[in-house]
Amino acid sequence: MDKSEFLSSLAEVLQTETNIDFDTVLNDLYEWDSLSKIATIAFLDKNFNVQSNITEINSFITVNDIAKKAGI
Amino acid sequence: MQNFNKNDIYIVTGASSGIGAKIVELLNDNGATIVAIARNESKMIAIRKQCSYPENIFIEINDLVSDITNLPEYIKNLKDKYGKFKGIVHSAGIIDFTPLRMLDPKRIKEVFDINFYVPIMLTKGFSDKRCNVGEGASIVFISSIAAKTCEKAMLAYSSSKAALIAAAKVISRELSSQKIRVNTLCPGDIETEMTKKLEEMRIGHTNKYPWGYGKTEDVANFVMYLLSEESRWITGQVYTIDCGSI
Ligand SMILES: NC(=O)c1ccc[n+]([C@@H]2O[C@H](COP(=O)([O-])OP(=O)(O)OC[C@H]3O[C@@H](n4cnc5c(N)ncnc54)[C@H](OP(=O)(O)O)[C@@H]3O)[C@@H](O)[C@H]2O)c1
Repeated sequence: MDKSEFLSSLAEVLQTETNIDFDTVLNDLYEWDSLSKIATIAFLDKNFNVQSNITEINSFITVNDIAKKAGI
Repeated sequence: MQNFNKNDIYIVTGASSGIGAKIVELLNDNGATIVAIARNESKMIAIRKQCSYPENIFIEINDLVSDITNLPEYIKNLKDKYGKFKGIVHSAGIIDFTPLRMLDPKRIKEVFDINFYVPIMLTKGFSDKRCNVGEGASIVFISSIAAKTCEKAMLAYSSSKAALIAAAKVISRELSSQKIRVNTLCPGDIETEMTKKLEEMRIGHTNKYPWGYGKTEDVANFVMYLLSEESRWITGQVYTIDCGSI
């Protein structure tokens, strides 16, 4: 998955209409709620075989933190 | 105190960890013979070592989802190897946290395979009268309060456990003429490997247990009762063990 595919996939996961970029602050997104966080964990597992948990996800500040975790 | 003897042979799935491992231990302490099924052989050997009568525990390593259709035949083969069974406890299961938006049929099926299809097909084999002792035989399904609490992101897990409750009721009716008893337990959060995962995923679920999480023996002791003759008039029931949380 390249960088732009990553961003569009993440937008699907978050079901957001906002244009997200790597420096988008997660807490600025209306959709960044508990369910989106669990969906992000499932997204990382399913697509990148990377395990995470709620504590770690809560420590992420920007979209780039999710990308780094995914190895993008 | 329930009394079992060496000729009482019980199958326990999920025997390598958590609730299943504790059931193996208690059955063994009380004199029964156990055919213990799981995938992780080294964990199973370690558990057997710690038990009072290791010679009464027979380990069967099997990935139960690998050939679900043939599980009735598998039980028949186990019967040929060990003798007719007095009971079966279905503790093998997996938990899953996937919100609807990330679910696909493949993931739902993976969860249903081990949580629903496996116990049903094993029970199909067990209920063949050539495989069980008849009157006095007992089947215990481990469902979950998740079947009732239906928390966010637990669609596949909760549904699989709810389906199990319905199936167990049907089976209890079908097997009542054979005097085989069929009951289901719905534990709340019990301290095991599974709850470690639950903790990592917990999204604002408050701690609902006034006396803290349950211990594996809180479920296993109830299972012992349901397997024993002491519960001979009890079938087709669903019991919640959750410290009064729901
Ligand atoms: N812990 C709780 O809070 C809780 C609450 C309500 C209900 N329950 C239910 O209680 C049961 C036991 O839970 P637990 O907490 O003891 O879980 P656990 O510690 O995670 O143990 C699960 C067991 O299932 C076995 N298993 C999983 N997939 C298998 C497969 N494909 N083939 C064969 N064995 C398989 C595992 O053995 P191997 O890995 O060795 O194969 C392990 O022995 C589950 O059905 C669970 O849904 C648990």
